[in-house]
Amino acid sequence: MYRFGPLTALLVAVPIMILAVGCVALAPPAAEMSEAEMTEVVNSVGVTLPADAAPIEQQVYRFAAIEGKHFDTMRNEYEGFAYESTIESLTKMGPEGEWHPAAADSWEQSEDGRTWTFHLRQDAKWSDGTPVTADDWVYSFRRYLDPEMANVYAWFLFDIENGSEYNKGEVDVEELGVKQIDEYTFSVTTTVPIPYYMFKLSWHAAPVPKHMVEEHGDDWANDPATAPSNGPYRIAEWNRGKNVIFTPNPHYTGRYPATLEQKVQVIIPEVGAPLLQMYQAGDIDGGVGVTGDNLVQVLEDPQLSQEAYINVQNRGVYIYMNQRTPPFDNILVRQAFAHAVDRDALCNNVMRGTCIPAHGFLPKDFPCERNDDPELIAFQNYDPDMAKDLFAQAGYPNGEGFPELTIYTKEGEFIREAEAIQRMLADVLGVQVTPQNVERASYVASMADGELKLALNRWGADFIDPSNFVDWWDDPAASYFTGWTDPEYRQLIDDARPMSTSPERCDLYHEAIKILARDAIGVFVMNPVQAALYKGYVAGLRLTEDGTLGVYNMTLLDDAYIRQE
Amino acid sequence: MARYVLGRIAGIVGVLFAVSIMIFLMIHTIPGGPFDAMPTTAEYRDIPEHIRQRLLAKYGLDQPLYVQYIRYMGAALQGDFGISFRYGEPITQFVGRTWQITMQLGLSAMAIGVPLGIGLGIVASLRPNTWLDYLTNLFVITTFVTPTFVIAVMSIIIFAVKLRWLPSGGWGEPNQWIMPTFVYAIGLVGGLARYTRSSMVDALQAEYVRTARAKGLRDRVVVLRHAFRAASLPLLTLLGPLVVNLLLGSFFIETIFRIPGIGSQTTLAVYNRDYPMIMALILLWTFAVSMAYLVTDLLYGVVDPRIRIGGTAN
Repeated sequence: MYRFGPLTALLVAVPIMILAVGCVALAPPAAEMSEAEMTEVVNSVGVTLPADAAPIEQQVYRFAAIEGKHFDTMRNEYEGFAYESTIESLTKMGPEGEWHPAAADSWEQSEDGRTWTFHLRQDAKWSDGTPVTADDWVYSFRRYLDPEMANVYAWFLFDIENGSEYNKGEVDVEELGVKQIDEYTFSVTTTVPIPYYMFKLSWHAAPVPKHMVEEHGDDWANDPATAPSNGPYRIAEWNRGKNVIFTPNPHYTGRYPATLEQKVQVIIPEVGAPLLQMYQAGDIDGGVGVTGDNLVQVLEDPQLSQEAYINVQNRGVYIYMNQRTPPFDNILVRQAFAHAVDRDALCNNVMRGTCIPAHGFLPKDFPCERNDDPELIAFQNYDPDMAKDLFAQAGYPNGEGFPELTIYTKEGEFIREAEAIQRMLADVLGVQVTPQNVERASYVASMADGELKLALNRWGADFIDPSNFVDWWDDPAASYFTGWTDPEYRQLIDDARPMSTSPERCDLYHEAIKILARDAIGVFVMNPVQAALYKGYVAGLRLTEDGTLGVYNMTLLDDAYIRQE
Repeated sequence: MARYVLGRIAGIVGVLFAVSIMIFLMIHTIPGGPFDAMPTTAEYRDIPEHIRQRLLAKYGLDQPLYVQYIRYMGAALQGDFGISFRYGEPITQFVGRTWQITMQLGLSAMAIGVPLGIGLGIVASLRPNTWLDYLTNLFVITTFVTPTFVIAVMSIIIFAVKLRWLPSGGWGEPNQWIMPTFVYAIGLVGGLARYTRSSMVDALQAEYVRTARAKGLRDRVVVLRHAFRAASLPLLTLLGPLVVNLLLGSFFIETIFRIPGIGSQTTLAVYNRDYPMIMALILLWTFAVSMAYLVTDLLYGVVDPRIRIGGTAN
């Protein structure tokens, strides 16, 4: 469906132009209300909203997301529902990347950096009134890694001591590095010190209500009635195919009480829903991520550009080259490709500012990102003459004798970028590569069996640490493995991994990325830019000091309310 | 007659079995599996082999294909089509929930689109090569060549974004029903009108029509009772599969308007490699299409007495 993106965007463009004069104005709700009637708005859990809040019945926030399989965030085959509303994690990352207490009141890290001890909030209750204890948490970790669960995300917590051994069924659950200390305290021990582990824990560890799981088995999470929440909101209704309605959790006693009376997740299909139009029509209020052509439209639209929060996505886009076989087993060929791609022209002209040119792999502003390093840039800068030279040295003067190749994209992503690269490679190197878009499953499968030689691939961060972007390049078990390994590279990232967050650690990661760039293991191209749209009446967003959303801001909507307009 | 129908039904059962084997083999040969990627992030992540093995075992996908097939068919014959990998809902429950929405939508669209299409076709045929014919033709061709998803997105932009008369999609409220139904109906008009017009033009020149006119019958009777009845025969051939298509829904309409129907699910099921869902939906399709052809064949006999099915001709 995404292949219709450009066409759809074109269709959006015309009416937007028509609209430019009579710009969509939001119907001012209850605008006639007199001053005297404008009283304090207090929501159903006793939170007083700011003075400019709309009446209580309008405190509804609607967002769009695909349907989850269940509400069990600790059992993944297909995803459960987005859980920010209903699950309170141990801690929350704020807009500036700082950690705030949430389910845990406090925590400490041991001397050796391997053990994290969490002191839970003692008055915490599930939305059915049952206390949330360390027992729930320890149970949840064990269940996440339980071999019987066959959780596809289990590897995410393999850093826990005996995590992978337990998941493989090699040791008993008691050996697992998650220990209950008392009713409200438990600890997590990792195999090596991992400086960013708080992120993994807060992003991927959620408590499940042990009492419900024991009573109902895995089905507990299929029905709102048996799926209580420990967060500010609880699940009130799940209308399959239509929506999920979240309402304030009356038993919530923590730091982030519900401000909205309702959060509604409007269910959209995996592909094809016109999100931007839904947003413009006022059927959803925010959380719409816009990229590519739609982003260009948004930025040019007087109304939408006001509602857009721009950020660089935590994604690196690069040219994947299968190095097991010719022609990409030849470093000169790869380097020639690296110098033949004009990234500035790509992002500024072709993509009209919807991406940031990159010569390195870490996204802009990601920890340890040093994409401005001239040495790094020199490895893959746009230099047509050098590219031609290298290509001639590789035995393909003016592209003669070079095989015709297909450059694959998946899911309709980066088609235009691939077309631009096709043109650049033809102009500079005289080679013929044809873009072809395929669906996800066959893309990965043909990459794994080595049939696919060339692709415009992307990597998105799983967690905020450079290790996530470098760990897998030389790992034969990884699907994006290109056939390349290098002991020096491996040494660098093995040395860096357990170090505490520091410039020295970044030095090592930067060196590793320079090896990738130097030997053109991947041709780094760009980081996509995204706009997240929120209507002007969605107020109280927790933003960074410069008014952006922040990299992994888990507190964005914690004070959100609907403003009277 | 009954013998003929029974024979045909036996044939349909045979087709269903053949299709089930084909689809079963096909879904297991296409690359990629149901537990390969994380839909929320659309990010591919490698699943450790031991987890994959356990997962496959959990769903019986580690068995040889023929064992899987026999198990599947064994259960299916007892009405158990398994549980969707993607939604975790029993397939029968899922189909029951989503299909009625699709049928509701399809029947409403048909109620508007079929009379409109046939009507326009008849009108155009009565005044061939006049401005009325050209105007009808223009409308018909425009709607015929414009893909449904374009009309759908256009109408969302006009009626939901710009005018704000209707919601952009969803299902349940009466105002959510209007746009998809009309967009769907418009998609039917083009083909039907063109087909009707050409059959009607032929029929109107036939001798029995001249006879009817010569008998002094009123124009309306000539057109509807005589010409249209004959012209509707080729129309039936078109309508059979069309009805099936409508009852099984449209991928574009349902995804663009966010309708929780069954029409978008075949494509999504393949996308997700949701094996039980793919099997069930394709079997449903096969069954519906076969039944539609059977019913169409029987209707031929009703509409045109010259055709006799299964028995000896007069």
